[in-house]
Amino acid sequence: MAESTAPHTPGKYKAEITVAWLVVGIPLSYGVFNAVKAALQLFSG
Amino acid sequence: MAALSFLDRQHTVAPPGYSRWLIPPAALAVHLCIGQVYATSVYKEALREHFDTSLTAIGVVFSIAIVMLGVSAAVFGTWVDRVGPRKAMFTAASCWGSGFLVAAIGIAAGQLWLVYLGYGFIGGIGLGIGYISPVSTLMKWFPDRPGLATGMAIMGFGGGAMVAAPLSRQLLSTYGGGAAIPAGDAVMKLFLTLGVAYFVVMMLGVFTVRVPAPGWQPPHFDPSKVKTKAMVTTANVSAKNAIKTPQFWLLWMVLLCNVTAGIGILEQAADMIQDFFRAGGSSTVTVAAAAGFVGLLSVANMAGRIGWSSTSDVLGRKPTYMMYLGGGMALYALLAFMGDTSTALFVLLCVLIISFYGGGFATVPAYLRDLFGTFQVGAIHGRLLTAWSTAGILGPLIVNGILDTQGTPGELVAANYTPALFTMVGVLVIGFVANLLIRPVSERWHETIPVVDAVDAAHRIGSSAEDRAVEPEDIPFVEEEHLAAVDTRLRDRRPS
Repeated sequence: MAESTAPHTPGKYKAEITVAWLVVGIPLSYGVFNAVKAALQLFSG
Repeated sequence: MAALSFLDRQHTVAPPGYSRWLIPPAALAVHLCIGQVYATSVYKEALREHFDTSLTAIGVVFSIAIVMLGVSAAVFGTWVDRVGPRKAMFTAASCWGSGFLVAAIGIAAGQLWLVYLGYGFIGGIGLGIGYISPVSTLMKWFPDRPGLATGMAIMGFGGGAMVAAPLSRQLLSTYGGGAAIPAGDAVMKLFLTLGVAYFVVMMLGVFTVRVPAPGWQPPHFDPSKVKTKAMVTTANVSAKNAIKTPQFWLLWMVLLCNVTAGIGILEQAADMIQDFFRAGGSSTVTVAAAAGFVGLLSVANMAGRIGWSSTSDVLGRKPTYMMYLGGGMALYALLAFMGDTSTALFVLLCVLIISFYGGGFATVPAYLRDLFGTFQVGAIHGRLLTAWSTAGILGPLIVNGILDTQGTPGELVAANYTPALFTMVGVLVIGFVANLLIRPVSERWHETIPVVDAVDAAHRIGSSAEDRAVEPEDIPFVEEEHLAAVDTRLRDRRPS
């Protein structure tokens, strides 16, 4: 039977976590940057 | 098919020590892609010219997609919960990607019906399955913070349009040689590019997602603390039974009202800010500033999804929706009474309203989990999303219908919006009352036997006395090829 208390191993998947969040974080940041850039026109235009 | 067996649920159990922080990016990979559906306005005019038709006919593409989102989420919800997130996300990726390719063929061939079929119908199925596919898995990985977990995923849906809009404009400019209105050929290439790119990105999510091992709990998580909250159940309700409860339909009404109120502003945002600050026939808000306002609202939408949904883990779901709906009522009233006194006040009020709109979407899966447990929360969520589809039709009908009686577009002023704004207040009152009426689900709807899936069954059989009492046909999700093995093992342990 699989143990419900599987060992928590912080740092074991650090590289995978970094890559995964970069894969989604970069396009998300691109989108937010463009939206904020457009929003600034509201205050300057 | 043996080649696709890696998609099966039992092959997606997380190995020991697998980090749950890999699951939100897997979900985001899907939601960021399907969120493109709200960026269709970028190429609407180009398609209208290419097919030499009306904007309404082109708008039908989007409408079909949104309707199919709701229908497929409802129809396939139980299947999604049964087969697990990997197979569901793969199906979503295949439909979403191929939908673009079929639509591209339609553009190349000059056949609008193929665009309806591709982007609308096939893509819409990808939307619905993709939207709900990671939700129940996320809540299993984050039983301590389901609002944060689902907020992270559904934030991606709001972010998807923010990514797709500038990306699509850039690609259209490249493919179309910088023309003011790109040719159909450019849109076809855009669709081909998006179809392939979205499939690849979604497949990253497919390969990263895992289901937690049976009995897994996050470190330092104390389930007994969950048990003390009256509005958070420790039982499970099936999707078939959930739709028979008054709580489901009250929450359906809550979502319908919250979404309708948000659409009330979103549909009109650019025109509304210009109309509110119109004097002597011309607006003091430029077209560029109005576009900036729309951009700001998209940021507010996304921020609300992650911000308010995470906050609901602390406040509780019912109080959070009291804020969305009750706060929304006050904000709409203020907008009606004094929204035209200053641009800053107008913008602030709208930003808050739209943040509640986004928060309402992201918090509802956690609300469902609190009421019905995690057993078939994905399927229940799918059925609940029909409220979104309904609001998508009702909201614009209500707002446009009222505004049409007020005057000519482009000549309206702030006072012309008062009837529509107070109608939204009325809609939110209905939602507020519906939320107040939500109570814990009656025990008669609770599952009476331990609910397990194929993975749990394979791991737990023979481990405790209660498992011996479970008949094979009562174990949900067991695949046929495993049923014989399960039956044999149970029979061997059944008291004679």
